[in-house]
Amino acid sequence: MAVGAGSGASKIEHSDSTIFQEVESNANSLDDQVGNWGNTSYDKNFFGFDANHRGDFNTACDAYIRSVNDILAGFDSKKQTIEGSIKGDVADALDRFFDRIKNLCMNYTKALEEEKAKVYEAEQNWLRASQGVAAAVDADTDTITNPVFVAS
Amino acid sequence: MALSIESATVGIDHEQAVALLEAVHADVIVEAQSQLDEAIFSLEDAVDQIWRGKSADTFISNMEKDKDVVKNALDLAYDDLSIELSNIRQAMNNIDENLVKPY
Repeated sequence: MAVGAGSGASKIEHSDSTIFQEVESNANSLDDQVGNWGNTSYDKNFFGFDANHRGDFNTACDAYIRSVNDILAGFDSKKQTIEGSIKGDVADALDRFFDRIKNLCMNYTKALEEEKAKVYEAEQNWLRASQGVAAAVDADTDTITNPVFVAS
Repeated sequence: MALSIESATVGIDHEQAVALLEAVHADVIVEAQSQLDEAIFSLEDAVDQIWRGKSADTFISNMEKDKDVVKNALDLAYDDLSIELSNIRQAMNNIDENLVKPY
């Protein structure tokens, strides 16, 4: 998933179609990217998913989406506070600014929802592919045999 | 009593314009960016608890990249607002300077 930012003087009009196209593109290339964020580098000997806590993943995704929506919701009150009794060209400029950043956040949450759905779909595909195949993985205290996903 | 900006039908208070921009930057842009940075940590912790492998790292990496794109977009929106307000102030200055010519 990627959220289009645009660049240059023609500037950023975050149309829904731009962001959704980038969501599609990056979701499809999910497997091709190397994950090495921060201090995390994946252990090539261990790939697994704890299906018993899939609900926690959904909860965390929803919480993050809610955070973005909270930011969005906060913009209206901030706008009122900052604009005050300003009128004319400056007020118009502020209106456009706040519309722009509100649209940015709305598009971002839409893209997040789609990404969450795509991850679930990828899991289900993996589960279907692996069902019937005994998968025993020993990794320290983690042992997964014949993974069974709990549908969320 | 001298005219104040609140009473003016048309005009500009340059000091307030600058203060307004500073308020937008601190209270809107920086605060939103901080909230995004903080919120994504919880998601990353949750992923770390239940999902391991290249796909997990890639998921988090993608989420981080998109969050940074949104943060950059907020900065760009602010930059454009700043330019626009600067242009408005300049236009008002030009009006003020040219409205009445000295003898």
